[in-house]
Amino acid sequence: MSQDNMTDPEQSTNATATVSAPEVDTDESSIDSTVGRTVIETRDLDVYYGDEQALQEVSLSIPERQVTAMIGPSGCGKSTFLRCLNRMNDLVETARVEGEVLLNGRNLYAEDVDPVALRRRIGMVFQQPNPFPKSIYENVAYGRRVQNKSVDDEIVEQALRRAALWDEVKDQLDQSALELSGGQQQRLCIARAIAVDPEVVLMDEPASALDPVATSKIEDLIEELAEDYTVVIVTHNMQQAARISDRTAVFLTGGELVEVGPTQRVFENPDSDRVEDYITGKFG
Amino acid sequence: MATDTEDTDWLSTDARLRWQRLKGRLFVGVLVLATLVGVLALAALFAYIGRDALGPFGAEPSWFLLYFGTAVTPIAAYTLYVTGRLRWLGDPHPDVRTVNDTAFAVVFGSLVLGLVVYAVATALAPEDVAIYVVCLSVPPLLVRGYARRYGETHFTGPGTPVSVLFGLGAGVVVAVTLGETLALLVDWLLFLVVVTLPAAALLGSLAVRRFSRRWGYLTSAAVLVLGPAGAIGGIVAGFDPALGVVLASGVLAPVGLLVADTVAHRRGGWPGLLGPVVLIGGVLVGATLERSLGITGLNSWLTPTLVFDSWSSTDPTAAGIYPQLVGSIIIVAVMAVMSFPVGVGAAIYLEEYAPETGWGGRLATVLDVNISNLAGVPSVVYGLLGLALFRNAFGLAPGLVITAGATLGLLILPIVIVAAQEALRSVPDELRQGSYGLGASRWQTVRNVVLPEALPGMLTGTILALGRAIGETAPLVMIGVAATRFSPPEGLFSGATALPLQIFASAGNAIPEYRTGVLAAASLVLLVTLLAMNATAILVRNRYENN
Repeated sequence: MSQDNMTDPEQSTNATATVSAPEVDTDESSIDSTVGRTVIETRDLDVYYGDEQALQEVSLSIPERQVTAMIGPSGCGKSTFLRCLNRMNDLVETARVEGEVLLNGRNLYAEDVDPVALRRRIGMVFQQPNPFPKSIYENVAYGRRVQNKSVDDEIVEQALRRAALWDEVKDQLDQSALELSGGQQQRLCIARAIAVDPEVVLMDEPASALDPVATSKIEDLIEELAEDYTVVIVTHNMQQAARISDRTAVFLTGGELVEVGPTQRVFENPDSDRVEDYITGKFG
Repeated sequence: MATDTEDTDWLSTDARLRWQRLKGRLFVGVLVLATLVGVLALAALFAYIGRDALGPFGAEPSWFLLYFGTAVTPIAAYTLYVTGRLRWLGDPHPDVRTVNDTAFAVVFGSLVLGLVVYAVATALAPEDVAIYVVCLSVPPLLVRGYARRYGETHFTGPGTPVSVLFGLGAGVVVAVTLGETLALLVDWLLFLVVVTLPAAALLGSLAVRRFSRRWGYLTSAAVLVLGPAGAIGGIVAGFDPALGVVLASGVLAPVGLLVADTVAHRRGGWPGLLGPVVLIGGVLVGATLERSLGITGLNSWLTPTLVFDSWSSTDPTAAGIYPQLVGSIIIVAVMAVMSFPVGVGAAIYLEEYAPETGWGGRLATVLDVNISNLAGVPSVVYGLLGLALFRNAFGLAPGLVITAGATLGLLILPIVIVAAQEALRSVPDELRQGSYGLGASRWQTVRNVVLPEALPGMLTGTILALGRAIGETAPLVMIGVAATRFSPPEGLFSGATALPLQIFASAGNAIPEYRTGVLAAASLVLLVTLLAMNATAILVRNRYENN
């Protein structure tokens, strides 16, 4: 009970902070002057796996063409949150979602929304590089093929270029994607996701299975992607969040969103003591 | 007890540790014994069958010496060379092994497949086989061609199976109306349709992928020329021109493509092509020398008569199992056609679609458990099922090919389902997630990502299940399949016959040579068939695992 009492005021302040994000942020630092239109907004999002609650009343808005990072200790619900945004949680039979997720103002959990159609607008990159056991070319083309969009060499090249992979693979497009290194595979997965021209790209700890060199390449790429796409990234690596994100949301144990705001402010001057403890490494 | 002063004493072995180690060794000993029992039982079985079937003790020592020189030594030397153990010859090119594996698979695979197609098509009437080959392949090809030409996939996807069904119906109609007219044609013309046309298409598309479009057309044209050339060769040399067609376009053509491919893409691997040559050449040279030197060979029951003639129950040297062998192969084909689609379909439903929770989930679990139970039901009980279903309920005549195939198909169905489920379960979930994440529907994910990954495992499991069923006797006895027929079955509704039944029947023959010689030789044929199927399963698995 006491915990609930503690969280409630925080959540409400967060909610107000995010709803009125543009004005608040412009006051705070120069980064935030670029905060654009809200693309995704969640309202009182609760997620349960069976009887276990994984997210508690998360209200958060994600601005256009920026990198929004979700950080927090393991089991805090940040991946669950990400998977609500393209309804990947629908694939888990025990999962139950309450509340609203609005994409450009439309509730994704409304009855008439087709999750397959939705996932065509919101791409996803996973923790483990998971290229299909097909050729590099076919991996990039896959999303467009299943969506009945035209596929030609130029589109494939464009996607690979944007994923900073073209120069490494242009001579071996017919080779199996499984022959690439882990970092290349992950960039291929990013190319695959952006080849269908989504509005939002979700990334679930995209660099956690990679070595430092591959990680830094992925990070550079994410920053570039934010010029064209809205990127939401989950990471357990706080330095990574600090390096690449424009806004950061901190989830703490129990699935509560404790703080959200411009990355610089969240890291340098968090409102919540618990967030400060987490960021300075006192727990988590 | 160690004292405090000797503080490294604990490093040396004490009695308790020694006892533990002894227990460990004893345990390993028991495990080795258990393994040896299995291996020895198998070795004894093969030694027994081998002695009776091949009669090695009837041969002169010089016979063994001869084949040791012409076949065993060259093959052993060649194997050592390919595996890189003949150091003084230098290390073989890395491609040699791949080429060698491919060469063996192509030569013996196409030879076995060609001969099986020849035997089965001859038995079933080549005109019918030709009609069905055309009717079943043209409609789906037209649909695929349309799909590619107009980039349409919405309706052509489901259209493909529909077109196959349409082709089947058309085939029945054509077979009834035109079958007798076509039967007037000479067989080798029909075999041009059964073997040469598909070979031309397959090898042509393979050549398109390996070389270029132009070479693909040239390859197809070459195969189309090879077919009639084989027929002419058969007429000139005095054997069945239809067999000539099969050998020329079904065996020679793929081997030729393999050689061309090796020269073009794996030039360094050319010594790998010699493997089959060494093996076949060694045996042929040995056989020639054996005859010309007048050496007494094996006192073998495994003779051309046994493999290519029909049964005689009074003269063991004239007894043959050709009808039974072909009958078994036809039953296996019917089984495969019946159990693979149904088994794979059920497995896909249970693994990919069935709900996990609620009443639906409970039902799926019940189905799942009972399918595993079905896999353990004794085969004789399946015979009873076949009897009840096909003979009593449908009123079909006893012992037809279709009932035998369907009964054994039901027998292996649960095994196929379980194997297919295993294959589907081994597809990593990340791949499904990746596909869903790109906006693929469930069916698109299953069709494009899950099935291609699981297919090799499904095929392997099905082939192993078919191998199990090829030796089944009891269910066939139950549904009234005749052991002895003097010609192979002529169609699905003709009387079936199977090799294990003949083996079973000849065990009761009063003439002792049947029980010692013919029976062992027929068993050896059955075992070789089984081993060939298992080898195919292993090849399929290895090939896809490497990719």
